[in-house]
Amino acid sequence: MAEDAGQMRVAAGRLEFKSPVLLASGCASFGEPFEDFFKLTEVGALITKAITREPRAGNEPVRICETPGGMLNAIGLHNPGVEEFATELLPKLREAGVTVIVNVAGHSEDDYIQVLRRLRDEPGIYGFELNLSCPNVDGGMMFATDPVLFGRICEKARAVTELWLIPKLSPAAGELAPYAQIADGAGMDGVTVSNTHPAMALDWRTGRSRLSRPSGGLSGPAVKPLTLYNVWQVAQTVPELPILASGGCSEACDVIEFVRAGALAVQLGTILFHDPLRPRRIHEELPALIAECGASTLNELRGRIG
Amino acid sequence: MSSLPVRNQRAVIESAAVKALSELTVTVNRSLGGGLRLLTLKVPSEDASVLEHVHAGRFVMLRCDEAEPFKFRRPFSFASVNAQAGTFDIYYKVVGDQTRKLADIAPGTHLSGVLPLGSGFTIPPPDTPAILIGGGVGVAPLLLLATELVAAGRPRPRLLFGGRTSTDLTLEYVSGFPVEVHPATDDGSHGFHGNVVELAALEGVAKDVYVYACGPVPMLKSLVEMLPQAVSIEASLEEVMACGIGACYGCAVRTDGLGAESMRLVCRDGPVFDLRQIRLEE
Ligand SMILES: Cc1cc2nc3c(=O)[nH]c(=O)nc-3n(C[C@H](O)[C@H](O)[C@H](O)COP(=O)(O)OP(=O)(O)OC[C@H]3O[C@@H](n4cnc5c(N)ncnc54)[C@H](O)[C@@H]3O)c2cc1C
Ligand SMILES: Cc1cc2nc3c(=O)[nH]c(=O)nc-3n(C[C@H](O)[C@H](O)[C@H](O)COP(=O)(O)O)c2cc1C
Ligand code: FES
Repeated sequence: MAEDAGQMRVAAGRLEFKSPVLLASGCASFGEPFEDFFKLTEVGALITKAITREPRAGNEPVRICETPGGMLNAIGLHNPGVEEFATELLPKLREAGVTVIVNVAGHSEDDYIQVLRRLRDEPGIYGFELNLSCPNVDGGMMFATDPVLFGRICEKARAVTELWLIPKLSPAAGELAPYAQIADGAGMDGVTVSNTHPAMALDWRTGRSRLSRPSGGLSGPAVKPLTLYNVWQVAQTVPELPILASGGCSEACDVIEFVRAGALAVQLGTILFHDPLRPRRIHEELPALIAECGASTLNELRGRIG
Repeated sequence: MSSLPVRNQRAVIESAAVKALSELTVTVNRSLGGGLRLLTLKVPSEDASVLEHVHAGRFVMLRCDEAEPFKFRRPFSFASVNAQAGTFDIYYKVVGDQTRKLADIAPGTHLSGVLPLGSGFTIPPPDTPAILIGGGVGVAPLLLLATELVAAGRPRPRLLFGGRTSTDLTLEYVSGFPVEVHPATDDGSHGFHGNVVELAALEGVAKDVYVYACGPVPMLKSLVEMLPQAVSIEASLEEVMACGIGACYGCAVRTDGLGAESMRLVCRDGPVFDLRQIRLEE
């Protein structure tokens, strides 16, 4: 961990993290895969695998494939459902003192509201990331790509809970700044920019998709420049709204780039599969990089581009 | 997550022993013929305790090419382990990009690996005979299993070992393990002329036997169909893996369970499963 905890602490609006390094939804399960590698209390927050009202088995295999500089996934919403999460998984995270943000997914407004209602009074949850953009389930795109539906679900969620609410924007929506404005207007505490990019991989011989579905979501270093652009766009348009950057962050210097572009904190996703020790390494490397930028805290660097 | 089958408890308890080691030293990387190779890796002495948790059926996620840090690591079963020397062996086949890269690595090179992962095979109750059935490179975890069975005081198990042709069997290498090899080749170049499942049918498999299998999906499928219902079959399964630690949910297999239970993760809930509970897809 950083010798000077204040150097790594980031805060804006109602959001505050002791470290800018968060674990991205669907890339860390419920934290248990990483217990052998670092303390979950070291990272800014653990964002859980998507939680739905009912248990879900997810998509058929093949669910993942390697692509240049990244990967495609079509996991679907494989999860044990809100009830088992609340009774079996959350208590362990709470006892361990992990900063938990629950990623919520569903097919209808009611699905989201029911999950939020079930969890809002459970101790140990800091907030919710609304996964409105999972491209790997049928009809999963509509909330993230329709401004009216997007605004409405943000407002309805706000009426249910006082905890942090962070809608996760989708690259499929095109320009993301308008959605960030809507989120701001609906009283959201921040936005995640963004999610996997709709993408394909084919076997050239057979013409078949390399996944069980025709398409999947692209993540990993390959998408980093796209995420950086979207973070910068959103930060220019809605400077007051905290941004969690997600897409391609792999190194300590990436964290600084995303923060300079306007992000409050950064989520690690795909890189965790390649290197389960990476959050710890980034924590070790960041202080020197911050100093090299002439700053004493990371927070100072936010929005500072040349 | 939700209730794991009892068989897998060992892996869960031992998960505290998993390590990501960046300095596994290649000491041997040699051809065994037929595109098959042997890789010996030495664990740094301060981390040698990980080897105590290596069991037949468990695996290592190896980065095969340090120049490509964003390629998935590749899963390989442990074929043998030498706690005194601080080494373990991988028996592997060159099938594509990353195994080709692995074949080019010179002794002395450091590789990064996450180990040991997944659940192992269960050792059968005393007096229960075990039969090992391996197709091609799938024999790897069965070789370590045979070693463990004999160390547990059981007789040398029978290994029905099939390949397309005699070079697939690397018989010299396999003869170094405590197994009674019954070979089968599709082309009849060595041993029984036919596949291992046909050989198993011919030899007969008693009801009280424990069958342990690893090999291609068509082999596992016909094995399930051929063996009497009462015979228990544990098999080590393969799926494409990104993380190997239960983080990505990429390595799912369908089971005959219901709801969220209808999918299991090969890396976390396996790779060893009761084959009768799995719906194999080709
Ligand atoms: C738990 C587990 C244990 C394994 N143990 C061993 C082992 O001990 N020795 C060993 O040689 N291999 C083992 N494998 C398989 C090994 O991981 C793959 O062969 C390897 O990942 C291929 O990488 P590649 O880049 O060379 O091939 P790729 O370029 O990824 O693939 C090349 C071709 O090989 C085929 N292929 C890829 N992966 C597999 C696979 N898992 N099974 C069969 N065919 C595949 C593909 O269909 C493709 O056409 C194991 C796999 C698992 C899941
Ligand atoms: C295997 C996998 C599973 C994912 N599951 C979810 C999920 O359940 N909910 C969600 O909001 N995002 C999910 N994501 C998206 C990630 O949280 C992240 O936004 C995306 O992968 C981009 O970041 P990265 O390049 O750092 O991976 C998943 C990504 C991957 C690779
Ligand atoms: S390989 Fe990632 S969960 Fe199994």
